[in-house]
Amino acid sequence: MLIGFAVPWVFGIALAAALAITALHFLSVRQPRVMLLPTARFVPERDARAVARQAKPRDLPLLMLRVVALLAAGAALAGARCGVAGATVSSIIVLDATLRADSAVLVTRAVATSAGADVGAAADASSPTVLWVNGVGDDPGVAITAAIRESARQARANPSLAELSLTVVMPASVRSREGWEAWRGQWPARIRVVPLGSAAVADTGTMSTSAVGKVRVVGVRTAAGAASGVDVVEAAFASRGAIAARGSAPEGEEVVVRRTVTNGAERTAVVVQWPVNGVPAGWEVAPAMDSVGAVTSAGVALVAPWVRTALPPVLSDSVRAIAWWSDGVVAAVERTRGTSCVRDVALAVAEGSDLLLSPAADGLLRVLRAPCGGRGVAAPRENPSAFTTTGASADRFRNAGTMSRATRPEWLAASLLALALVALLAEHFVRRDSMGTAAGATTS
Amino acid sequence: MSADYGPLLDALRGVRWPARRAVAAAASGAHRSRQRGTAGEFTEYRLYRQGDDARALDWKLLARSDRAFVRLSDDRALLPTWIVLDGSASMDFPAEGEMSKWRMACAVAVGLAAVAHASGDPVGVLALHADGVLSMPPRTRRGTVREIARSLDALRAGGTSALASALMQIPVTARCVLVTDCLGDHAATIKNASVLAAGGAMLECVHIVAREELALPEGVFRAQDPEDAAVWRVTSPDVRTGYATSFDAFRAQVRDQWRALGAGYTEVSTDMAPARAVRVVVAGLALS
Repeated sequence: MLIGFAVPWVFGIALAAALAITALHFLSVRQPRVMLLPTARFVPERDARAVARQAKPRDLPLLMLRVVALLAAGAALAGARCGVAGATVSSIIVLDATLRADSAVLVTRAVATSAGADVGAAADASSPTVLWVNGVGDDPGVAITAAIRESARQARANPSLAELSLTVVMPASVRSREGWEAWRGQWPARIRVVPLGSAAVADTGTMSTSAVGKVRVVGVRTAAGAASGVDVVEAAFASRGAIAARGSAPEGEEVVVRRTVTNGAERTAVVVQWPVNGVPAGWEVAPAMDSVGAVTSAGVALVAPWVRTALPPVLSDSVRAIAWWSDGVVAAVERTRGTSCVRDVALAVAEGSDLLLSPAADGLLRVLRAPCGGRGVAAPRENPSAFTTTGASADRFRNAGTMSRATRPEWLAASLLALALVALLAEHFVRRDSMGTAAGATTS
Repeated sequence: MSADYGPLLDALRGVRWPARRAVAAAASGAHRSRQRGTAGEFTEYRLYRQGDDARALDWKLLARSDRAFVRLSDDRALLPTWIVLDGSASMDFPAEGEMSKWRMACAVAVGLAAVAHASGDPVGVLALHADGVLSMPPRTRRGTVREIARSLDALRAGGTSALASALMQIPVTARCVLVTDCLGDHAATIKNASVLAAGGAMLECVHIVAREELALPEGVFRAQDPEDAAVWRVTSPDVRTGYATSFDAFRAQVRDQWRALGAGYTEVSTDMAPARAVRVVVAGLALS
């Protein structure tokens, strides 16, 4: 049976009061020797008492009752909580919500990493809590905030919880590290980081960053008869600061190819193939036109009456999905080619559509403009020397925020207060009896 | 007869205790009665009135003067005497020592009973003690004093005083002697005594005061009232004067209250010889 308090300082006050009363019981007030005198009423009134210490506490039953009353009331007011001894370590695994399609593999790997890092803790721990959080790939700081919320919830729900460990499944590169760096100090223990993909693991430290605005759209060739019009993809990138340049592109810049791959585009770091008909090279043409309600990328859904015209290739370590239809079918992939990559987009956008200009398309375009294998900056790394322990104390989260002061179980407060009341009543009667006994002794 | 009272009774042999004033009509006794009759010692003549007993006519005077006179004389009557003893806890002081207030009260009561009984008066006792009330109605038969002494020897002082209620059991034609320390329900006792006095009863108060009460003992003590645990004081040398002043004032007030009722009042200290105390009481009554 474990006992904790929602507001420990209240119990501390009760404990201090009990100690003070105990100390007072070691003091005795000495009074003069009693003498029976029928004419005592004619003696002028005056007080004559002396305080002295004694080796043993006087009125031991009274002392016990008073201490019990104080501690019981203090425990009730402090929100005493009892819990059975059980799992004292909890493990939290945070993954990006966009990785749900690969949940089985990722969770298994994260659990294995979490358990392998601390075998002793894993023996006591219950099954890990898996949190699917949006935006971990954009900024892993959200993983820490979500873990703190979950930790506080678990700490309040389980008084016996002693430690929590955090494992974050993180892509090799992220959009920003600011959130992570701002929130890292709020998790007082080492965070286990599980890299997402072996290629990314190998290159997370040297990943080049993307310079937004240097995207060039080359080789744009719209449908015949509409060549004089503005291409919708080109307009979408241009509206987000990209430079629309026809022809070859300098090395190191991202290139969007609408229909054909040019020689100049081959030399660039990132090439985006976005055919007008929605059937990139290497994709299988869909046997029948199929309508889909939305396409999702980077956690943002772009809802429109899409028509699926192609089926994705088989995914592998060098071919990974970066966008999905609403039914889970891959809508865009990234093919790794050495230090560069080619992204195939199987979205057929109608000529003259302003769909890609809407804010809902930001997620898709941000993924397409991101560096190969990631989305911006290298994923943050854990400093092994910063924290020596892998488990964070549950008390830190248990006492954080505006917690309820209710006891657990709820009847505990009423029981403790009733105990205090009974003790006070008993103290009253015992004190009265002792005074009567003392008076009887003086008169005898 | 208790051996303790032998010297006392010997010392009181021959002492009489006359009533302070004429007593009410009663059986023939030693005290002057308010009733006039034909028996006893001749006092005066009175003209015969219709209805007078013809046997009271002085026939010789009638023959000499041809006038009818009746002979009058004072009657002598008995005076029932009630001795009321206060046996509250305050009377059991000092607990250690030769003579406590209770023992002194018993000795005075036995002595007064012996003196009254020697005058032919019926003597009774009403004693309030720790275990209740002892009531012995006035009697004149032999051995009454011995019974009173034996009964009082078996009692012990304790409890609280209920003297006022006991006083109302005394008939107004009797002589009532209260032997008390006046520390209990004194105000109520005075009130009820005034009722008795108004009815014609002869009241006497024997105020027993312990020698240890007249001056506080040396040292610091927690003086506790034996009848009320809530009343306690701390004695010290600097309160001795204040105590003596207060106690003297109290005794003076008690004396004045009793004498205002027309009652006799005698203060008896525990260091007095009981026989002397009885003589003082008897003499005080006779002189008042």
